[in-house]
Amino acid sequence: MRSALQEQASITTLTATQSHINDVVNVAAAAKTFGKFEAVKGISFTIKRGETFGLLGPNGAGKSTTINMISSYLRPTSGHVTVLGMDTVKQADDIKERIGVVPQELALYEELTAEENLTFFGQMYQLERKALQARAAELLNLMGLYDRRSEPVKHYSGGMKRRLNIAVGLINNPDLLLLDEPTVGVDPQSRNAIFENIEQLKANGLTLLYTTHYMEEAERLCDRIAIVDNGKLIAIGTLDQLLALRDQSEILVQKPRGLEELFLQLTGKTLRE
Amino acid sequence: MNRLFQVAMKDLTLLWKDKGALVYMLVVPLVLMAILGSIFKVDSSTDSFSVPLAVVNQDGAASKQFTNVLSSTKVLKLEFVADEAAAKQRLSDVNNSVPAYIVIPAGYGAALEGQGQAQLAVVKTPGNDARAAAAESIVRDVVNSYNAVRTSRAAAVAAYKQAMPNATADQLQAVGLAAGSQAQESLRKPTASISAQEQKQEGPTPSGFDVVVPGYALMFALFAISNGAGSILEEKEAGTFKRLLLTPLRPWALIGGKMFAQYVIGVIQVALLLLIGIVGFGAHAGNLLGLVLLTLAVPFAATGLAMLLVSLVRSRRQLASVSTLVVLGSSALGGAWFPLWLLPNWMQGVSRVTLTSWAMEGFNKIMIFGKGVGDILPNLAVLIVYGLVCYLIATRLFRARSEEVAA
Repeated sequence: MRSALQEQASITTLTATQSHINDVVNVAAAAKTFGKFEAVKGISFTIKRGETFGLLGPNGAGKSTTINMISSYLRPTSGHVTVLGMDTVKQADDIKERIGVVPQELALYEELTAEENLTFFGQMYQLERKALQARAAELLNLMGLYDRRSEPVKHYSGGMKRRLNIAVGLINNPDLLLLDEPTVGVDPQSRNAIFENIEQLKANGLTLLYTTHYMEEAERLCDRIAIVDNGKLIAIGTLDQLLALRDQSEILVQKPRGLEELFLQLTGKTLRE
Repeated sequence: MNRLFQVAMKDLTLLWKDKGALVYMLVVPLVLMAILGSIFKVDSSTDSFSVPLAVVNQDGAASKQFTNVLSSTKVLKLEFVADEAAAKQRLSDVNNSVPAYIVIPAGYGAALEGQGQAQLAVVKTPGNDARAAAAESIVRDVVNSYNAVRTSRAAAVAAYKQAMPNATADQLQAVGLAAGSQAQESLRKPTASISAQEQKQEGPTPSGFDVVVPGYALMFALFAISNGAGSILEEKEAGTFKRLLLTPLRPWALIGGKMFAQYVIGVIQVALLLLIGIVGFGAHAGNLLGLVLLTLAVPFAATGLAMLLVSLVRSRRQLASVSTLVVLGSSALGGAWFPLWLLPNWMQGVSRVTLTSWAMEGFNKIMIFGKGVGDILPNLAVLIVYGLVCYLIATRLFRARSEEVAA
């Protein structure tokens, strides 16, 4: 019955798909195995230009592995992934030039200042010095870190570090930004500040892939959401489409009040298990 | 290539911001050099070489001439003690011991003149103490020369008595004295003699600092480079390694950049330590071009070795253990702590697998034996090949472990 629901969700996605030309990301039956462990078991979805696409699922669902395949960090064991029309295996360097990644870890040099971190990572994209300086200043302003740009990052709060982490992901003005659980360990106020930054990026037309295990984040930020669990795609669609699945399925005994309840009814467990 | 240098600059900037680490990289080896270089001073003056010998003189004034003769050798430094218990104490004194003591029994002076029998005891520290053996040898030589003179005197008197049965006691005494004087003169100026010389080497006399300065500069450069190379593991743990590989930066450029930073750090450290060792501690520079070439080649080999160690381990903790073993082992085996030629032959052969032995041989040739660039070409070649081979193996191991799409 679950596979029937997944099929219906897939059908729902297909009917809503726009023209193939607007697909920034195309994941086609991508799977990733580490030894005997199947981290991702053949998932398929697309991300449209200007869309904020959410990957929602508990820890260990395969979200980070999926992002790693899309960013060309990992080769898919099977299937294939294209980003901006380019194959992630054969054209990894070209893809890396045009995407930005905000990893789950705070991947910053704590002894360097915010400005030095942005400058160094910007140099990896061979940005011209003046343009890089201007871009760094712009991002520091956007993230509300400009006044403390000359302090070592080790003196920053967790929320500030997370915002700088996002800024580094944007240093090359990417066409696609991948955010892997960017608010982990952050207080509600800083989290809200991050949401506002992301909403602003959205408003500017940036295509975003956002992974999280917090359903309220997915509900607030994402245009479409894919629910993943155990390496499999469980359901995909807009929030309304997902919540409306009750009408099309025998599994859902009542209309879910939110994504968490939907997830519980689909998988038999909560997002935090 | 640009990105490689930018990665290197970032690592150098990070080190520059850690002023404490910079100080330790220089101060700790300099302190050790100062202490150990002073201990292992080499002095060609024999005046400074002496063997202390405790003396228990139970014969008093009768053996004074004997003890004066022992003192006149200039090698033995006599220390008169009250009794044998005090002499034993001096033998076992941890801070200021003597390698041996002698007990001159009552009547020994008379026995040396042929009156009665007495035996002098030489007591030495256990083990093969060269100083104790030298002291015993000198004491025996002096006693034997006394015996030789007495024997000559007795033989001359006996021969005269046989030839002149009516000779008076005064005449016999005069013959004995004359024979004794002649015997002593023969001992001072023998017809068949030996001479011992020190071969003079070209250039100035080497000092302990000529070994200690390059040895400890090399050892601490190895430590610093190994620790620095461990920053690869630190970046992997922190997530910045992966983040860098998510940019267009290629893995070879990332590792190459980190290696280059460590190489620069190694060159600067070795150069500064050598400079301070030469200017401050008086180590001999020798051929400057040779010294410069070694200063450039040694960190290259050391960086390759460090990268190889990093590629073999999975954590900083593992690296700390492995690098300590490798650095200390190769320093001991390779002549960084004491001259290679003091090692047994088989161990000198084994030491050839260490970059330290090739580096120290090069430094010794330049700083101690006054050789030129041509003489250290084999050492330079081996060091460069050593570094290249280590780097190639490390790159393969890194690639085999990596799951990145290295397009």
